[in-house]
Amino acid sequence: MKVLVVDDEVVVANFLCEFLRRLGLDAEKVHSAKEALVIFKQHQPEWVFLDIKIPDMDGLELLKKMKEINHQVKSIMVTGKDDETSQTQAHALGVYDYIIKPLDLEELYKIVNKHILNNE
Amino acid sequence: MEVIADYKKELAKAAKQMILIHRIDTLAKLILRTIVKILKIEHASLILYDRNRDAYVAYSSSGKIGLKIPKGLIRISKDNPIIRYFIENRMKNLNYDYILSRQISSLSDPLYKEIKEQLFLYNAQACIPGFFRDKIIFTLFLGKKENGTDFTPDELEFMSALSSDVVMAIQNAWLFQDLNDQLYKNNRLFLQTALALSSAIEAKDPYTRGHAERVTYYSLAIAEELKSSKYTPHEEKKLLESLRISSLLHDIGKIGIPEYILNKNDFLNEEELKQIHRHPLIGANILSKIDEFQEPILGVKYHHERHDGLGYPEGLKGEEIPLIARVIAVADTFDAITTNRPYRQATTKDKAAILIEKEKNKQFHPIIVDAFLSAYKKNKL
Repeated sequence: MKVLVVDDEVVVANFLCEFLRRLGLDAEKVHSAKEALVIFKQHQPEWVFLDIKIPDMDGLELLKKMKEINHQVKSIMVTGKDDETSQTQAHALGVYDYIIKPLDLEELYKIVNKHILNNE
Repeated sequence: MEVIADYKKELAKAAKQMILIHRIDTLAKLILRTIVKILKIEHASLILYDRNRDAYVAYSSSGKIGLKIPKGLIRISKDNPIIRYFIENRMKNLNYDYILSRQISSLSDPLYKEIKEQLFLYNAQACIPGFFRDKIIFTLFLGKKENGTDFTPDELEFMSALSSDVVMAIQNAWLFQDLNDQLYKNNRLFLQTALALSSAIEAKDPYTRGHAERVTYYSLAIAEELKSSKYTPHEEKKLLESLRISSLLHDIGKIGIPEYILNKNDFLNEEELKQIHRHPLIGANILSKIDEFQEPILGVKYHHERHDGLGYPEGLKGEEIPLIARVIAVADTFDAITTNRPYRQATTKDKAAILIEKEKNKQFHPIIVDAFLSAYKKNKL
């Protein structure tokens, strides 16, 4: 299963990517929205993990653009932004889950299991 | 055996340094870097108790890219199986002060299954708690050794011992941080109190609106120049702080002067002048209740003294007059003559500067006048 992790913080993207790989996913990471769109078109991941605060574009905007390219893409937000507006917007865009940093790895594990690996 | 002795020596050396470090981030980095280097493991992370969240949060990490847990990204709740395991063991007085992945994999207790999963999630081979009394303040996650071998019991016991040193160092750093926060808060409180008091006098004497702030600004500018002329007998920072508070409050004693005198549109008679001349002492009295204001009070009390000894309230001369009072005297006069008063119109700043220069060695101390002129020429006033 191909997964793309977008987070401008390199250490965060690295860690999440490594974590998802350990769960058996084919994960790769990028650090900007621009880069994300290029890789998204090239590698066509089925899942994206998005931060909201990315310097060159709002993560929710980025998700909209990705949906225009492939409307079947599935998404999970991983962000420090915990305001209601962002969460409502994210759900309106059909995200599967909205995880707030600092995150509980067990929770992330359960979410990945439930939605991506399909074994609850 | 030599290798073991070596790592112990190095870790013990790091532990000794730790207690001297008052910044927790520096402390954590030092200890993790040393652990990773000496035990030759892929990564090590410190998950530290966070008072605001009442949970444990990834605080610092060292090791290979991708395995390092970024600061603040991960949270562990207090009912995490690893935390529960350590707490339960401590309550039962069992001495299992670490978790080793190999050790627990053979056990069938459901808690072990959960712990195993946690170790998998954190990619950890061992986990060591940091106890302060019966509370866990951190857990250390250790990744696997680069050469693939297991941790030896000796290594783990040593790590446990080391962790209690880390606990003491962190407690120490927390204490230091609390103290610092408290000091910072107190300082702000003083300044805010001073501002509140100074606005009290402005309410009564509208002509002095902004006067205290301007005098403060001028005083600090003069003090800056004094600094470059190396005429600062006090500790510099302390002088500036006292000067700031003192100049904000220098006229606070006017609260005790009848309003009709303060706002009179004409020359004051002898009795009225006598009353006005009481304001430095009234001010000093008001502030005398506050211990921390002992330095600033000197400026309040003596800002109407003159270099030639003809001022009030005590007729002090020259260097008998405290430095902050001498500075405020110049700043106060400069502002008084450049703003409108009930009894006269404002003078231009250029003329005011000339007037102040004329009072060198008479009303004002020469060095302060020089500093004032120097600030004025640099357009700082």
